[in-house]
Amino acid sequence: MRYLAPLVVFLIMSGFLARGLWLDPRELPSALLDKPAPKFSIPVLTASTEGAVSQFSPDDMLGQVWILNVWASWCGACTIEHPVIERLASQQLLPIIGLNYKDQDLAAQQWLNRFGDPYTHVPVDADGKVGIDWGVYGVPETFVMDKSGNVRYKHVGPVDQEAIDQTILPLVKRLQESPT
Amino acid sequence: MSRSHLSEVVAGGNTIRAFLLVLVSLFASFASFAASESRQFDNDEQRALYLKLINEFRCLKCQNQNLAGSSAALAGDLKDEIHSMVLDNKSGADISDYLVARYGDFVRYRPPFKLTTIVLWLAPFLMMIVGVWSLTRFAGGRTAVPDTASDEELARARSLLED
Repeated sequence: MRYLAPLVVFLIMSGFLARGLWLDPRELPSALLDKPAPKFSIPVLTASTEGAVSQFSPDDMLGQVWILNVWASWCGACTIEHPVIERLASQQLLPIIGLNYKDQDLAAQQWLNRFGDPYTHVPVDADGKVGIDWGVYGVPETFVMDKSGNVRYKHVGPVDQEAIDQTILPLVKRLQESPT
Repeated sequence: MSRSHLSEVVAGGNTIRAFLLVLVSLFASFASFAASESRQFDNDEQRALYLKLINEFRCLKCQNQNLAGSSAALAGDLKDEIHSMVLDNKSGADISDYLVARYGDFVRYRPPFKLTTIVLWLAPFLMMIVGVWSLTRFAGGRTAVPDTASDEELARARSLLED
């Protein structure tokens, strides 16, 4: 007992520390998870407007499962993530809305011309107020929304193909099959 | 403080004083963050509340800094947001709720006491109890060497000491 106790304490501490090695402190659960997405209505990037839409609001998307991808032309990691988003868009499984966060319209448009535009709409959050409401803290961020307009998943940082295949697409499929 | 002054202090054998001076100057640089606040307020209470809040909330972009100490763009936006809410005479609790609703409890440097944070709050006390217990259990068991020296031994020890 006398010699066992320190060993037990040591093992418990090692267990906690070992677990800590595999945790990513930047990955914070969204405070909005399973809650209605914050409302907004903001203009969309002019040149990318399809049809007559000039304002975008999450309410426009009610009834469908959709993805909100937060990006900016000044964001280096967004260029890394972009091919993955484009591949997802080309599968035409669901609309992807690209929230342009704290950017210049011209720079944003040039970025889309250069790297491709996978987005159904590109709402412009010029002052970052929508970003604050959505709890955005590290661009790029990706939200999955259900048919009733609730946030069901949030990915912080660049989305990779593995996250798409193993987490996002199975969730999207499940949400699309559910009636609400 | 000049270099020669520092070396005099050290040369004078007063290294502790030099060390303390360095320590104080380190903290002085932190204090200057608060002083460089350029936002305007209607009164001193608003300013005090604002300064209190920006010290209590975390910058999520650079997780080991509070809003006051961070120069990240997001920290600036959040400070603007807090500033405008303070000007609207919102209470500290309202502003805290606003931030927690968006960023979760992690945004607070002073986490609330609830089920998910119970380990965080209670672990130090638990460890102290375990520490005190093991101290009495293991170290307390050892009593001092009993005073069993005979008169003869004492006399011999005394004579040895006197030599």
